[in-house]
Amino acid sequence: MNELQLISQLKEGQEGSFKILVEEQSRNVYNTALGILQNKADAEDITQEVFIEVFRSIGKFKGESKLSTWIYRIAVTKSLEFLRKKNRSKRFVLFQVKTEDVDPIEEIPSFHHPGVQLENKERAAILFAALKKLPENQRTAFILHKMEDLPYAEIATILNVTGSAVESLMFRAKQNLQKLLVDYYEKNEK
Amino acid sequence: MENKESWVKETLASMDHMQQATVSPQLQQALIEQATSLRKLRSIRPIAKWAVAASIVLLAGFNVISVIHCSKPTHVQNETNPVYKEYFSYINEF
Repeated sequence: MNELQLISQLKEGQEGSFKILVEEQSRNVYNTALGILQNKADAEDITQEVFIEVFRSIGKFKGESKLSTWIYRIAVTKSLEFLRKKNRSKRFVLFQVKTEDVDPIEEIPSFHHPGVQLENKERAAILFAALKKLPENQRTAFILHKMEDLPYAEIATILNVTGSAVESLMFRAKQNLQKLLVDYYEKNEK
Repeated sequence: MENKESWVKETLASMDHMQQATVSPQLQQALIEQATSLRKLRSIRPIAKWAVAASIVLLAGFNVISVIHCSKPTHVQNETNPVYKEYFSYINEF
């Protein structure tokens, strides 16, 4: 079944089409949420919320972009909203005085992505901890490119920015990550 | 120095060739069930909407009919009523 057929079946509410959509897209949605949130339970909750939104608003989907791009956009929006809410509630608990543009990496990186190769596990955990410290648009662009393997053009559509804006986001993300990793290395004297 | 640079480089590359995490079968099942229940809800909704609309129209219709029916003047011909006639008969005498 091609994408147009799937979309029309989804709009008509045909039972099998929902199953196909879940099978095709749940991995992308879950992985995007997992990359942004770095928490399995939160990523599962967001995946459910994303699919509820998709089923509710499929009628409004005009087909201006690929279905997967539209779903990625919902996943990114929902994940970032969740993160903002979480950070807002944290701010009430703890007042932090910011001295730098980007906070240093936490002492013990706690998130281990299940898809990372075993020999890279420790380093990837540090990289994920560094990712947490990036501004959200840089982090999102980096995750979509590195984890989801999406081209800049598609990331631009998802984030509703130009292709060159994505390039600059990626450039700044890499620069900031490098700085963070150097700090981490110097602190922990590898 | 060289150590640091190579460590940073390797750490940045640690995400390369990363596999996607698999979605647990429970989550996938939950998503499908969620979709099915939403689909059912969606198919019920238009019927419910029309049923509510039809019942409102019917109710309004009954109200209008009953108002029209009740507001009709009751032509009680008091003049022809024998009690009335007898009671007010003195008026006619004047």
